[in-house]
Amino acid sequence: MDLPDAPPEQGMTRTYVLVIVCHAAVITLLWLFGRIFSH
Amino acid sequence: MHLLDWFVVVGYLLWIVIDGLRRTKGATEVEGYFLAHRSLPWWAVGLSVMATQLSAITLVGTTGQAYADGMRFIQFYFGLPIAMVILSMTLVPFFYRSGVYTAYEYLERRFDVKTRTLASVLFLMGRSMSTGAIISAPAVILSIIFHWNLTLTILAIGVPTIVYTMFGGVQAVTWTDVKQMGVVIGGLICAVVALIVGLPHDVSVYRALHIAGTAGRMNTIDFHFDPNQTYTFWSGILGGLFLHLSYFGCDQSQVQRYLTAKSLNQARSSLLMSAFVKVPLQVLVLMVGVFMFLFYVFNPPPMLFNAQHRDEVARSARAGEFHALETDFQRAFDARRSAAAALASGSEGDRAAAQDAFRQASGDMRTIRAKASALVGDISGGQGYNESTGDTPKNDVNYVFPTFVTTSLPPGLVGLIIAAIFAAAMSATAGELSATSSATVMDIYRRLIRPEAPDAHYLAVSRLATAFWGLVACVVAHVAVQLGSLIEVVNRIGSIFYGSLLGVFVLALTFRRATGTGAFVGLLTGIVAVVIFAFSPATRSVSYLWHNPIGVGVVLVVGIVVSLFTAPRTAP
Repeated sequence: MDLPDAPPEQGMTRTYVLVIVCHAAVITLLWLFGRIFSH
Repeated sequence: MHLLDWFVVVGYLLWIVIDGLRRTKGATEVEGYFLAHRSLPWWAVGLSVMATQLSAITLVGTTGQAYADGMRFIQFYFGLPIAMVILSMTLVPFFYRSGVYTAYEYLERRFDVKTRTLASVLFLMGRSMSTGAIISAPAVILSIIFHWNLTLTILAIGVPTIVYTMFGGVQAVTWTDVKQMGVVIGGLICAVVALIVGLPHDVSVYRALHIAGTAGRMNTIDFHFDPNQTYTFWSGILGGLFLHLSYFGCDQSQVQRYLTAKSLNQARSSLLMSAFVKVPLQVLVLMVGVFMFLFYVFNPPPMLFNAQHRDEVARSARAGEFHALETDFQRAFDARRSAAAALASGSEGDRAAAQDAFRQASGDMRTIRAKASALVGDISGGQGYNESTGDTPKNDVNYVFPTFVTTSLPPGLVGLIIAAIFAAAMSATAGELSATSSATVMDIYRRLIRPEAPDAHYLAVSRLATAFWGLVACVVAHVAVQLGSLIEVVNRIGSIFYGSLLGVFVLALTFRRATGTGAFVGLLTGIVAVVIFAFSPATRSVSYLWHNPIGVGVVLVVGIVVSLFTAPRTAP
């Protein structure tokens, strides 16, 4: 069976970008949190 | 346990079973039973996805891990949000649009029936074992803490779950998961609040967290690249990425959840909900462990949290030795508490000296605990206690949270937390039962044994399969207790399948020339390669998070090479 073509994203791209940005922010906060209280 | 706590726990169990049974209306056909007629909202599916992943082992084990080792476990989840985005863009649309019941059904459409069957059988083998572990770990801990009968505790978790999953299908599983997640999150928040309120009046939360940092409990991120370290930024973001891609993309217990969503975008949103919420939720779980550590900085902890081990030593010929260690432990605790008080209230100059005293006393306590642990190991012939095995039911850190709850929280709240432990175990078990039942019926029974039968027949078989796998889980849970550290090996074998399964799906999606024989041989080779890697002396110490990328790589290379030498399937 041939695979269907890659599906259109239907407006989810912004959400994906938001997920990655928020995740990077959470990791940065956790790193800061660790540094503040470990030193 | 106080009468009020019994009321809360029994009330919770009745509420969940009755609520689950009310959902049987939608489960009168196979599609309703396994896919809820694709009618569920994204937020309910998203909570169900998280509930299936969050078992009682997570709740009890992770809080204990944070108590002993701090926040570093959070790095395990760093690959999860990225995995959710990749899956939402790739596998989820293919699964959803092709109208499959199981993830492995897609492999037959793409390759052939033998690849589908092998993947489904691997899933069933791994999940039937791990579902037993999901039930056995909290059952052992609760039975020791409350002196409950172990068999009855296993049945108290297993039977209500089997009843509502068997009759209500995936719809009952999802809606009870929503409520169970509420109970779990509510219980965790209450525990954190109780722990903060329980700090001494002259110690602020800010100062308390500095004390936790002095003891190494606030090390959140480790950027060193060391494959032998289980939790580092790199193992989390790369190894964890592959693990979560495999778990959420190829494990029927998760795929089935998002196949029940109303639309493709709702299915994607349900996964992305985990991407936003999972890391903060794990921070909450780990903070319970860190605040428990702080609680036991100012309040005397038992030298060993497992009361059964304490009793065993107290009855043995070496009881005197154990009591001497307890006296030393109490002395070290007093020294650490004084140092902590100085850390919380002293001037900058005093704090430097207090920090050294705190670390010295903490080291002494750790050494004494290790001696006590070795004593328990000696008494039980080395079989009963071995922290290094990580054996879930017996590892002492798993008793920290239940011990704190039962000895330090007021009546009512104890019942709520015990209900939360039940909720975590039941929601994870229910998701697994529904998934193993769907794989058994759709991939094995309907595909290979009886292809033509009325829908009512498949529905009846599905219910029987749910009950069968539920009973298997209860039996495995009981046997797992006797297996001791062997259960750790069983769990490790389960995690070995994940990378290779993901490799087959990646092969299907990225290499158009891939053949069924290439996928089948690639899958088998990937599993054998990871087994050799996981158990050979030279590579055994490498973190299990790296097994997944290795499995994916081997399946892709072997799958592509074999595909180039085998004929592709011709269109019918």
